[in-house]
Amino acid sequence: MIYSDKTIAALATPKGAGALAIIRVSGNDTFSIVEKCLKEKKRFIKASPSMIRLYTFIDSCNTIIDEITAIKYRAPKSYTGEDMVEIICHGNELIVENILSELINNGASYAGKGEFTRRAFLNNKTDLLKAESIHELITSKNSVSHDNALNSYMGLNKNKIDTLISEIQNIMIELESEIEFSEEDDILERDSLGEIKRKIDGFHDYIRNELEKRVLLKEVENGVNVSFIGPSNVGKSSILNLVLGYERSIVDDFHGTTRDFVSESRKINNLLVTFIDTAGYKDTDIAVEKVSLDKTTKVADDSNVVVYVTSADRPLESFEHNYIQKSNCLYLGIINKTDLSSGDDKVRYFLDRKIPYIKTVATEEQSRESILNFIYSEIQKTFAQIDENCIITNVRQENLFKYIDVKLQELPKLHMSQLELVSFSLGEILKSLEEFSGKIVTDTVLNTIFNQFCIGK
Amino acid sequence: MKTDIIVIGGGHGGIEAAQIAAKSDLDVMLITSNIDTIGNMSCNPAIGGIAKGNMAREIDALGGLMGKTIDKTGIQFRMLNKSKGLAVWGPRAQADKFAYAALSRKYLDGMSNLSIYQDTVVEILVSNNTVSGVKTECGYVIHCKAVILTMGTFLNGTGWIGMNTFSCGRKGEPPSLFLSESIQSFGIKSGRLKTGTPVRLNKDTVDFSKLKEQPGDDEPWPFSFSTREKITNKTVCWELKSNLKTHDIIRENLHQSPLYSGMIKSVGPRYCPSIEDKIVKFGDRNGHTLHLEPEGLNTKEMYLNGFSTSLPFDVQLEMIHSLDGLENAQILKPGYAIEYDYFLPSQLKHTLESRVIENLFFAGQINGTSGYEEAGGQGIIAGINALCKLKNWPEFVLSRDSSYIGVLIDDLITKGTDEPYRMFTARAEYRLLLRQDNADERLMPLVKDMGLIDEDVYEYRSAIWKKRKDHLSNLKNVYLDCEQWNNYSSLTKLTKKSDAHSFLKRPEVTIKDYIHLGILDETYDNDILGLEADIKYEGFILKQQREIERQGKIDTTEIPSNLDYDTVGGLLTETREKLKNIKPVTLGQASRISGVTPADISVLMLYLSRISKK
Repeated sequence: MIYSDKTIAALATPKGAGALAIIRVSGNDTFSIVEKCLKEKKRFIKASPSMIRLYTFIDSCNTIIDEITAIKYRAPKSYTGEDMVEIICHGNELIVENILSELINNGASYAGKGEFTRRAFLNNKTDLLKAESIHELITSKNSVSHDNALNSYMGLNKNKIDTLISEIQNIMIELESEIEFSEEDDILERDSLGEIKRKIDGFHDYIRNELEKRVLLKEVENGVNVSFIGPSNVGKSSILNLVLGYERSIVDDFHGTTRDFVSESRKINNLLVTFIDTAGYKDTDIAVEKVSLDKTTKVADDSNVVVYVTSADRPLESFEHNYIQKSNCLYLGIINKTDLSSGDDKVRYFLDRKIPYIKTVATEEQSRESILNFIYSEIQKTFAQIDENCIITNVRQENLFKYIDVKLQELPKLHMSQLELVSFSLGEILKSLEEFSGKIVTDTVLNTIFNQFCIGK
Repeated sequence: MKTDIIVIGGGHGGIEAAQIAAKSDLDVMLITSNIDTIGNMSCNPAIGGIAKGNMAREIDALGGLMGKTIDKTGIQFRMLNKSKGLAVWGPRAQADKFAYAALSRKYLDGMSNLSIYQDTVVEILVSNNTVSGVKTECGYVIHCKAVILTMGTFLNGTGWIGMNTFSCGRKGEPPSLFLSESIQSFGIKSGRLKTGTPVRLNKDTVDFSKLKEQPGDDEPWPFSFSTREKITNKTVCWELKSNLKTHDIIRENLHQSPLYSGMIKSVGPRYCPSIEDKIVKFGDRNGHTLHLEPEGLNTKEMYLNGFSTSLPFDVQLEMIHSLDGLENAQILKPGYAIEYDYFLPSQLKHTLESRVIENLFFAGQINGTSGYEEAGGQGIIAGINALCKLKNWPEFVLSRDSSYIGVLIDDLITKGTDEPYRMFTARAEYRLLLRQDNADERLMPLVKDMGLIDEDVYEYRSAIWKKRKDHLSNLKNVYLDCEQWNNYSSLTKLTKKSDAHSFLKRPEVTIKDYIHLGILDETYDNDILGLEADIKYEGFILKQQREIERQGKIDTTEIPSNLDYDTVGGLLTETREKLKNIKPVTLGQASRISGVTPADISVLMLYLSRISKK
């Protein structure tokens, strides 16, 4: 609702990367909501209005999101005339989205278009003469108001939402026709409930699929973790050193030189890639080794890309099978030391499992380029595809999709005796879409029924 | 001659308006062109249906006559949508249309301060923009303080059968020719609508062995909340289907249809389409369901529901004879279309009083609706408000969350209509609350203090509401026995002890089961349904109530009637024009005008808060 008294939050500076970004929160619950998100709660409570102080912004699991500064404004001495907080964080889109997400989780709502300004007017914060011209600004579609950063942030891809709206409407139309006419009239001569169910399921699959893509994409945007795993002494550390371009990991001919992980990030093109070297894998019951290997497994599980490194000159050992392709991520293979042997059994091994692989000699400098290219292009292949098709592009949309997903999960069973309840819940989804897009569409459901169905009695 | 309130028209709107106003000490006069057609069922000989049944019961809960009349003159009763959720059940009854009209007349005759007079009103007399009386065809002037217009389809009515046109209000009755012009002369805008009616057949010429029988409910339930005696079914209806041959005949003769040849230009109801409409729009169907319904117990006349037509008579005959079972059927009355004047309802207040002329009220089909229940609902609201106006009582306006009648009137006034408006459950955003079973509890308390409900009826209903409430809390403490339940029903399995309240939320469980199992000591009737609905819908109703509260905030924000929209910046010209025309009374009403966006509402809200702070 645009005219509500909820506490609202939004990015106030232009979207995109910058040194700093400002997030504004306004409304009665502002202080309590922000407080929940800060590690230094007492400091925040004690801070007097307009005092800038440093805080740690955390999520519900106490994970640090960013180091921020925040300014409190007490009503009516604020831009909107309500209690307000301005959060100044680092100008990274992801940080901004995470901060907003936390604020929303703690009870704030996304601000409607120009809502801060609107509230400012309502609370007499702007003089009467200005009011009219700013009305125009709020309502005209292409104007550049001083809130334009906010607007552009809230601006959304209309077509996507329109598609969702019409999908929901179509389902509701079928439901309403079933409710209103199925007994008396001759409009439905088919398995209408089954058809409605299929449509709802299809819609839900679509929403879920988009959310999954979004999660994946967010991970990738955050940076990609690439871990090198494999038996000990196949050259994992050499490969890491090679891609990093300097001696980061100690290399030795003895088995199991690397016990702890070594990781470092590099930017490949626009992608932030963190390479992680792990302890070599070996059939062992030495306690120290075991702990270290458990860690390796965990690292592999947390990685977006797992590169299995093997050496051409050694046979595949039985324990390696337990290892390969355990984690649910992009799996790549490197056959090292191909100067010593052809490694045909490994080639067959990777081919059989459809794992992209590359042959290399880590001790040769020219291998660097080919390894980086190989890893980057495989990442591109997998994630770029998602990127192009992902219709959720910001936190606001993501939350809308999440809301829809929850609503659909809670949808009453499609039983003849509760069609009106299913319709009610779909109506809630429709309404949230309406509010999101600022369009009024409720009336169209009934109107469309008459154009699609023949109704007699 | 002098009276307080004049009601023009003796149809379903006029009857309710006249009788409710006459429950007070005011003098009411009902003027009709034909005293013998009071309460006539011009089209379908039936009351109720989905959503319409709810309205019929709402009329009853407001002190109306419709429910009482149909309970006594109904010949077949059915609860529609019984396989679906309780919120969308709708009672419907076939009437003996002669008995219905006669009883309506008898009720009116029995009211001491209501007089009935046969004449045709040709002019509304106005002084100082306020109603002062009416003038009739005979030159007779009757002075009064308020007039309620309920002329149905009579204003400049034109009937059509094929290319033949005839001037009528209803076939066989003259139209009302001058009244429309008199009303328009005040600057009240009118439009033109079209509706139609099917053929009536001779029962003796129908081969019923080829039709499917459609019986009434085993245990029919009454419409009126005051009816305590049992009602019974006295007849059955019949079902049949049109076939490809019928469709071919229609297609071949479309050029003779006044609609499809372009002679009738006004808009007809999409949801009550003529058989021609159905074929043109949905020609791919193999057949359309039709119903053959008796018009009474002592008449041969039968109504062919779903077969409204305005094709020439010989084509109608050919169409009828192509139907199974009707090969030799004789037409008693041909189907026809009728075009008539209506007044744009956006010119009214929520009380149904004109915004142009004071104390002039509009109700029923002249506001662009279709159906007896829609007309009756408006009639009773206009009647109550005429009464309130003359008594200096506050306006009586039903909100959208109180009733279908509230939804109907708000829709008409806020959105207007360019086709005959029919009620549907989907029009009510709060339909889980607006059920046929609880219309009494929703509305009776609102009119009780005006003396519109009999004391003993109110007491009787209050006791039922209380009983229902008691049951509601008691069921939380009653536990179901797994074995007993699982032996009784296989639809849903009870695996661990559950209280009867939460178990009822399952879609497969109904209150009928509880009564059957002795968990609830009650008889299964319409009054106990509310208990099941309140439990099943509990969470949803809560959500609706929150929504009502939220909406209530903007619904109670009044817009001053003298607001000059030209001074409000930030509105699109189109929106501004709409607001100027409709003059919404509250922000809530403004928000429901089609095309008005939340942004516009914010602008208005802003503006209002500015001027109130000033």
